[in-house]
Amino acid sequence: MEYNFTCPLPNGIHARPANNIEEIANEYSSDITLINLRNENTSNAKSVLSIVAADFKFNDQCRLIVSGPDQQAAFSRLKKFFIEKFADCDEPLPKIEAKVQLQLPPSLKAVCPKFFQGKAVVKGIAAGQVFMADVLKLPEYLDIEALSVEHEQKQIDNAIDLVKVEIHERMIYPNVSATEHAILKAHLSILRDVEFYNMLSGYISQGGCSAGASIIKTADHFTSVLKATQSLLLRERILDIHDISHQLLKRIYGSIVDSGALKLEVPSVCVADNLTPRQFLSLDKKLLKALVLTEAGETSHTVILARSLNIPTLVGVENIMPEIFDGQKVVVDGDLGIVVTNPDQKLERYYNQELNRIAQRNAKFAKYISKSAVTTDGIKIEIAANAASVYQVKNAFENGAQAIGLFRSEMLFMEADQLPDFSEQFEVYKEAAQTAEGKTVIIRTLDIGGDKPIKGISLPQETNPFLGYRAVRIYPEYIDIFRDQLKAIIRASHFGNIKLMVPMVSCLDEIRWVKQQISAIQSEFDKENLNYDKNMQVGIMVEVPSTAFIIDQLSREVDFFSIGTNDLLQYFIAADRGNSKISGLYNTHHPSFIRLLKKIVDDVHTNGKWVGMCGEMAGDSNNWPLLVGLGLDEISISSAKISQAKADIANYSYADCKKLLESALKCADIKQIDSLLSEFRKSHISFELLDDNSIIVDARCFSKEEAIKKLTDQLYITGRADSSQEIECAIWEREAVYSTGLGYGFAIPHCKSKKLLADSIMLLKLNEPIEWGSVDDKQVNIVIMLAIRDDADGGDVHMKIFAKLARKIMHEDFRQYLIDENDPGKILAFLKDSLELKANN
Amino acid sequence: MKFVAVTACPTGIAHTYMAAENIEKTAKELGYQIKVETQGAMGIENELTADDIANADVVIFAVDIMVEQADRFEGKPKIEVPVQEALKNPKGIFSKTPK
Repeated sequence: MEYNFTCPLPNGIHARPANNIEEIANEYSSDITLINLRNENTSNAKSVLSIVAADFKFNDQCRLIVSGPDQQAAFSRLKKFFIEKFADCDEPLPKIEAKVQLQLPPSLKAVCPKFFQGKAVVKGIAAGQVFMADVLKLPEYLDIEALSVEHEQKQIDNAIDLVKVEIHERMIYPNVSATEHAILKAHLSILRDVEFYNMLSGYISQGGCSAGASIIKTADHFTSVLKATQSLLLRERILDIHDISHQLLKRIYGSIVDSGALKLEVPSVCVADNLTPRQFLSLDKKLLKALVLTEAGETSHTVILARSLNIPTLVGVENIMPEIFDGQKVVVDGDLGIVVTNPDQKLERYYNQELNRIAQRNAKFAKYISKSAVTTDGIKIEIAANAASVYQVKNAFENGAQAIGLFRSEMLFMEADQLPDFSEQFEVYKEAAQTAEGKTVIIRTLDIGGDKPIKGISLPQETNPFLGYRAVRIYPEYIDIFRDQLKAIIRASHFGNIKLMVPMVSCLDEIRWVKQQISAIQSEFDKENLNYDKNMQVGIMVEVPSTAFIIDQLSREVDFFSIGTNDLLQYFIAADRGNSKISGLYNTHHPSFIRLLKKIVDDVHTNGKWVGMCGEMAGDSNNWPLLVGLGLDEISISSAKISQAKADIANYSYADCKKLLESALKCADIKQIDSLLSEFRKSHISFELLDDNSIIVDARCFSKEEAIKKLTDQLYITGRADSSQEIECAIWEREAVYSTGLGYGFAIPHCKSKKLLADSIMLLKLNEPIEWGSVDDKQVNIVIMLAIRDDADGGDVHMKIFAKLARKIMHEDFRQYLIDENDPGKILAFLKDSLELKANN
Repeated sequence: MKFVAVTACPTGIAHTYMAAENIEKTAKELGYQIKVETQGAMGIENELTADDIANADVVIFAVDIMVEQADRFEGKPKIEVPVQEALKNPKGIFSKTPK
């Protein structure tokens, strides 16, 4: 029986659609063949590898042939699938972004003549010796004579069974991570692949090969086929085939085969074209400082593992291989996305400075990690974190999160090759709940469509996906997938404090339908005597504006609300957030939007429920006082900002924040609210122009670049600025006009910057003078930095003091005091006295 | 001799005032009368009046940018130097006085 059709998938038949075909085909005993009429490749529809190898592309003519005892049933089932469902099982391919020319900060540029740029997939800075790891190679041939066909076949069969058992055993290890679990599952599917097995047997029975030779030939065959498919996703899977083939060889021949394990002896940066997950796991994580993979993609299994262990990792680093060798020292900068080889003392000094900057800033806010966010008049707001993996959950609590306000379940779906089933999801949610140790984890059910496609659920093309078929709206059609997820969440609720949150609800019917599904699953669990949290709270995202007007009705159905500002704003103001032409409209500081937020929060509270916020608006430090003023019960932000949010909020009173809100509600435009908020924050985060942290003596800086970095870093460390690189650049822009070395061993670098939170004077005394390009050609050992906010209203008070300091510095007695005195306290007192500074200036 | 001067630097944060101070200090040492207007981040300060300008023999511009309201000084003998000159060699500026 035959059926001809045209391949409707823009990306061709990749692993995912092949998997769908294979699953159906394997339910029948008939022979099922899929032919690519373009290249005349014939494939066994019961084998993913075989289908993929036939290289079906968009618009290729395809022919399905079924023959055998149950051909009628198989044929009509498959034909129906190809007609009705097939077009929807396309998968998105990872996008390769064009690389932008990287701008190094001036202090790094000065000491780093050469670097290799890549894409940072795991952030962080680390140094170590290069450990070159070869991609796991299979031996080219094994010098082993084939005994009987039966013997060799038995070897293969035994090896496959043993490796399968091993994988199954590993899958149920108590400490196996969800990521590793998914990888093991992918490996298992290769071992089960019919065509993989047929080819192994074929080389033995027809080719007279030994078991080993047949494994190598089979692996070679699929490697070259997958390489030819031009799909990045599939090329990454070559490693999985090598990995499995290697395990089979080891099983049969033991130590004759190179173990493939990688042994580190010193703190190392592992450099390779690619690594198999097993190779990666064999590396000693105490010694593995960073990973540089030239050919791996962001979705490769090894990268996913590295991310879960937080090992700084770069991919796509070009041209590095010919210039790098074993034992060479390198620094991997996962913040900038570069590798620097042969770091000299200067470069090491830069990175020490950089690590110190990060560590000291963390230390400044560390005391807030264990605290709550409380205003000066005792009002509390819960600071929760957004997370997408168990690792991020752990990281959030380490950084002081009081809850997980948004656990994005999509990531689980995006990273997997196949849709994660109940047990995979359950393990992840359970692990997240257990990691939270009794604190809340709000799991959002699948939010896909529009901007977030995933493999396996391929939604039809829409002219306007954001207003279309997404999130809660697709659940009824994909009921099996949704029920699997609900089951996993409800079951996991037994192991901690889980709340469930539904995205994109726009009317009462939708949430009622979801609640029916939940009840049905709970009754099933009751019948099966499975434990779950009977009081698990259910809430919704407030992101469709219609919900704001039925909060009273919704409150009868749900326990809580979380405002998703990103979508709420774009729907409310009718501005696509991806459209740069109207990016001016896409702004949360519309007076109308603030009024909408107030309505939502007030209505929720009137109805006795609680409300949080998890969109980008909640992560902006300028907005925090406004959010406190609104009376939000919780905000959910990125982990990195948690301690800062707590520290900031401790400066505000709820009464002031309420007044701020009142003023904002009266504003006429975005600009007024912008400046209202930025002024409020800056006036409450009060720094004197100079304080104990402003005088640094006894410093060792080897260059002007180091000295300027030290001063601008200090602004960041002390909390006077939210970042320091922009201020460093502004100082250098001013230096480029002409040097601020004024002679007599003094320099007075200065700038205006919007990144400053407080006008600041900093003084740095150096042990050894450094070159500054001064007017009198003398080296400099006293550096006084003046930094003033670019957006200051009434900044003249401080500007007058700057002017006074500038004038003072022209006088010898003033300079001489600073030269002679080395006690920071006395210098501070002297400066304050000279500048007639009173408190709070 | 009577001088008036204007100082102005690119950011108006430091050099405008350092130059003004140095010019005033040097004039005093040399026994000249001087009034210095600063055009910095706070705008025009110690503004030169029409009388100040009329009574001055020479105008000094120690500037890196355009002088604001430059028309006030039309017809007066001028010494124009970069701001840095006022730090490097202030006495030299006065020696440039047209004879």
